[in-house]
Amino acid sequence: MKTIKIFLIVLLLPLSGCATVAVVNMDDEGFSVEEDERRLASRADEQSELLTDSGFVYNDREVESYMNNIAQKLLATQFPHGDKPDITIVLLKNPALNAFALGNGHIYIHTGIFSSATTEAQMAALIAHEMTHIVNRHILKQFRSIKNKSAFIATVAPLGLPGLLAQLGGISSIAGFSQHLEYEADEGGYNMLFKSHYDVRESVKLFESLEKYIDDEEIKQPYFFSSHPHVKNRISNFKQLAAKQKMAEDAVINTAAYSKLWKKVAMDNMRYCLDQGFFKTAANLIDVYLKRYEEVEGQYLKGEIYRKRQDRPKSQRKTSRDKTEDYQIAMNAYHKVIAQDASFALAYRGLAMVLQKLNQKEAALKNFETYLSKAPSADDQAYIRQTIEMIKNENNKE
Amino acid sequence: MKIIKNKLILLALTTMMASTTGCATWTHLESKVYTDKKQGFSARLPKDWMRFNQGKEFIITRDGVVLNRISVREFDFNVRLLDTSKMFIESMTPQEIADISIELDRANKNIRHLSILSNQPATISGEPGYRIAYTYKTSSELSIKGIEYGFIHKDKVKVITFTAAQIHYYDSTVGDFEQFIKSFRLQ
Repeated sequence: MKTIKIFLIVLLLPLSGCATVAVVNMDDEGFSVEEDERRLASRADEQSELLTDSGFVYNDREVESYMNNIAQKLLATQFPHGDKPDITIVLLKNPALNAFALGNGHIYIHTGIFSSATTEAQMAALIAHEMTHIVNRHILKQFRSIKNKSAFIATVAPLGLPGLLAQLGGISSIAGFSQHLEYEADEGGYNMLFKSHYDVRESVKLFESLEKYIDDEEIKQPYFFSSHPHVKNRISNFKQLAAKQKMAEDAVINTAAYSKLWKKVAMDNMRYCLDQGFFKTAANLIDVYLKRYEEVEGQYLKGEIYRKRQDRPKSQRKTSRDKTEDYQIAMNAYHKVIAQDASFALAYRGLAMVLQKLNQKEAALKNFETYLSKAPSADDQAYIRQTIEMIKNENNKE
Repeated sequence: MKIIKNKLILLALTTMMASTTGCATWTHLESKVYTDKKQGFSARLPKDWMRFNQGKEFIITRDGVVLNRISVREFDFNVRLLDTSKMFIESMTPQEIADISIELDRANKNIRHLSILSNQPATISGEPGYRIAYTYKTSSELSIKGIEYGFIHKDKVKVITFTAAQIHYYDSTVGDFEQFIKSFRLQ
């Protein structure tokens, strides 16, 4: 496998000498697929295969089908006479706010950025941006403009999935394009969005969420923005673009179908956030979620997020997180669940765990016992008995 | 599990370096009780395994660290685990420590198709702890099966891990690991 990949890179290098040949967009006259582009697509196919087998794909036909329909709707404005490029949208289980396009027309969207796009128009803005990279053949342009061949090899050579996920640069949009190409994708995406009758002002909101995420999680260089056009500049550009055109009053912001999918993906994404320690993002997202859906599952997850939260502000790096406030928020959430649905066993467990941390042992024991009685076949019954035993032993010592 | 993956590279490098400086990097083991003064435990070592002599961690293998290995590691409290904001806290229960271990593995891009076969409390040398059994695939497509024990002892989280290639190596060495665990005593 390694030999094949190195061979492909060696094959690609001489072709990169075609930098002087003009690259027209896919929707321009005279467009045809060129040989080096075919090779880039073939390499991208290998990467797609790795991603498909990785176990990191969020396999949900309903979600993927809906996203692909949005892509087709946007493409129809760019290619009114048919002959559209093949675009496939794939969702990845990853809470990082990222999306990227490969040279084979596959667009990968993380559950993190999906959850951040709270309306269909925001999601359409994201897809339109990535599709513009494909339609305007930015990957080919980027490839042909690369002067530092060894750096290019370094970005396309990583083998295996970790390397792939870490640095898909060179053959995809995730390593970021030049400032010019990113702005072009912003503008192209904006136009597609406008022509498709989406409310373009929503794109600003998407970028604002991304800006918040960078700040919250102290992200140095998220792929989606690349390092070149600063996110603040892009927000400002979108605002200027939006100010130029009058939006139709019935421009689409959101749909019930998208909201239904968002609810499912956002819930899963918060769990991925907990796995990867993106606590602030999870805490922000649960607030957005609960504003829309005041239900026990969401409240329970809020309790879990605050019970487990371990991130520390920069100023407190050398000390542990002060958990008092977190535990209070967690307890409130668990109490809300119990008030709404007294049979929701996990809420008693969460409450007991928090009470134990607050050294309220008797109350903790009572809630652990309630959990055991309400969930007699829970997987963690033995753990809870172990914890009860530990608390009782501590009580005896005192 | 995740931490071990990163350590493997270090292990290979250290082995290379040590072999050039004349140190005995690996010790062939007899079936006898071994005392690890650094980490404060003793255990009966399985016959025909090899012990790695470098670094703080206790690591033994029979057929090579990729194919099977037993390790004993310890972690301080309030120290970020890998590149996440997660850490072990003194007040955590065995269940909470096990949860963090599983969450870190789920977030690890080197560990694919992680499946938790069981996650139960356990007692290790009298200390309340956990036992997780799992399978996963490495980034190079090797199917691994493993068992992890963990517990708190003297202001540290101790983790004892056994992993082996699922085909052939797991079944042929899991008995050695169970004997190791049975004889494991804290000093």
